[in-house]
Amino acid sequence: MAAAALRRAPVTGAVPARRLLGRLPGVALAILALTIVTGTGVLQVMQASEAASAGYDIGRLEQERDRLNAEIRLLEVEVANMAHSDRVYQQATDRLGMVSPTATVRVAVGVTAPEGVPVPSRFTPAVEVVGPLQRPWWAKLLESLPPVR
Amino acid sequence: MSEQRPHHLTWRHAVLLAGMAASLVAVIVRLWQVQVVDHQSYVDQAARTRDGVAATSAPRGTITDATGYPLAMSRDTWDVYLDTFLWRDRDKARDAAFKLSQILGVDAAQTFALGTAQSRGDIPLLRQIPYETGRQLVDEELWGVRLLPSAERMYPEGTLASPLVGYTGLGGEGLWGLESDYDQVLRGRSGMVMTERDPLGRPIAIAPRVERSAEIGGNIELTIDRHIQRIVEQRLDEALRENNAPSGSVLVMNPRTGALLAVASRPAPTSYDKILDHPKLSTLVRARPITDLYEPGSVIKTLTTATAIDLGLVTPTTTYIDTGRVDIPGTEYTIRNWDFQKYGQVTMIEYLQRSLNTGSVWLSSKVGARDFYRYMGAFGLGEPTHVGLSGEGEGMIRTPDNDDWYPVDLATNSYGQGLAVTPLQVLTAVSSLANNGVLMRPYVVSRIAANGEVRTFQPVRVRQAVSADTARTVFRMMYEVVEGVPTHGARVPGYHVAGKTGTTLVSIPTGYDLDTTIASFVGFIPYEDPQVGILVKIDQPSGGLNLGGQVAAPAFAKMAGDIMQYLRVPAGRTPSQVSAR
Repeated sequence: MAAAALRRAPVTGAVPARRLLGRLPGVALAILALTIVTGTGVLQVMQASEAASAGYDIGRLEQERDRLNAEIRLLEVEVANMAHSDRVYQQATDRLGMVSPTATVRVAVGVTAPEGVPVPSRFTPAVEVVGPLQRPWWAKLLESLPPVR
Repeated sequence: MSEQRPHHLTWRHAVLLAGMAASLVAVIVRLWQVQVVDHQSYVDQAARTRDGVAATSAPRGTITDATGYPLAMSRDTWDVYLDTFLWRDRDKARDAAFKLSQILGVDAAQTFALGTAQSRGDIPLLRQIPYETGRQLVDEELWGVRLLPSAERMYPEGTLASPLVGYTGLGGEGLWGLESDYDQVLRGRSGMVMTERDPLGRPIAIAPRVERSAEIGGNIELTIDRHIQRIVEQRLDEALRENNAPSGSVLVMNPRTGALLAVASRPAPTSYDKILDHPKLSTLVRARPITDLYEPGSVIKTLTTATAIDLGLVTPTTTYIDTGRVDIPGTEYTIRNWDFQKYGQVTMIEYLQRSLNTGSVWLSSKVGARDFYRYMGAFGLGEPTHVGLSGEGEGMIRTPDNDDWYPVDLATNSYGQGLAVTPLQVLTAVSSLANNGVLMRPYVVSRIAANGEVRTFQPVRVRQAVSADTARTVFRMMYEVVEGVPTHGARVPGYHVAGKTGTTLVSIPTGYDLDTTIASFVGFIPYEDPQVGILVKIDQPSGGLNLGGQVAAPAFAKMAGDIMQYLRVPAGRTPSQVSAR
């Protein structure tokens, strides 16, 4: 009886562990599955969040692009308005004080230029004739000395 | 001891079960109705509430002149709509209407009434509001106020070249001119984004999205030079005022290439304000030099002379006896000179200088009908020039092949009466004489850039109408017509001009109106190296002068001088150098 009990004792102690081990894969699987499901869900949420974020960014950038393109076109319109013929004429006359020519002088470029006409002397300034400069005595003295090396 | 309940179903159970079964059946039937029978209806309702289609703008392309300046372009604007479904919330609608009144200056009460008059769909409040104002509204995010991008067509040079450039309607479609002819090129394709939207109408980023990107309209570059166009229009207006004429046309062409540098037509729109309501809109928007037919008159004498010279029948020094009148054999018709004078023995140069009808009749009799009409065909008269614009006149010339042709037609056609052509046909034909006899196809569009492709249009040589020698000879005679007459109205100080006047009576259903004329002039400048050919046509001048040399030639001289200055063409050389040509 005692021997049987002794033989059974380890067995008795091993049964819960085996049972536990026997149950462990199920629990582990459940935890694993739960983890996978949770992880998948979290990933999906993250992905959806990323997609939403990216979607808003795309939308915002598209709006920005459209806005910039529109502003470029508005600037082109402004440039065109600034270069309008009437405005240029108005600026030339009003601001710059320009006037339309009343006569046109045309110079034929296919003929030989006329001889140069001498300008009367009364219109030319008198030229003062300056003689050679008088060198001082010490300059001659310095030149007569031997050069210094 | 309590009484034990029976194990069998009582009538109460049966009633309860029947009630539950009936309810279940009712639910199933209702589900069937909702999910199957009325499925599409509810899907549509849901889509209307949830799905949003936002248009992305595709601006219309630009029409530029030869210098790259835009003659027609689009400016971004917004269209404002009220979402009546959302405006069922009256408090928020009232706030939005008040805000709209502050920003747009509209009446708040009227706006509120408009937006709450119905409870479904979008109602347009304002169209084409300025871009910055629209951006302000977008940033405000007003309840039930939706903005869609749109565009406003604008013409920076105003109505310059209006009949040629054209105009667009509110929907952006071309109505006339190049805007209409090249509508498919200029018109972009609006993009579309279909997605679910939140209650404020903003797209939900994670919702399914169907998108078609917008395609911006193509750009068109013209051969027209806006500065030359302006010179021509101003000078044409002056000529019409001075001669009290109701209408007129001017064409400026590069005779070497056929490129049109200016196309002016009067009357034309002076403003685009309510232009579509103008009672005589059709008279304003025609590019008359291209669409309208007229009898060109003595300008055709250059072509008659070229025909005779090309056939070797005459030379510039050939003479004939001008008796002042020609009786057409077999008919009762007598043709006289325009001044009813006779000049005796005259050379071909003198005949052109004096523009003698008898000389043309004499030449046409030597040429013969078959060859005359063959050459007129070679010059492109009676056939469209294929300039690439809609409504181009084809012209009307009777030939011996037509039943209604009579021998007198040959005589009258030889000096430009009894046939109908467009100013464009005339200038194209006479330009061949300034281009060594080569007839070029006129064109007004030089470049189209659309859908990532660029098409460039090069000058097109149609045919050799007459030999180069003949063309040079006749062109020299045209030089003598202007420069050989010291008082000729077409002379331009500093330059040499070759040209020919034309004066015709106005054709009416019963014959000709003897009191009015069409005065015209075709000239080329400078003679030594023609940069431009100009046709001036003044209709029905009534200011006391009515001949081409009196009315059209002076207008030509003014605009030709201005154009030479603008193009910086050096002043002409001496006549001895000219004769070497």
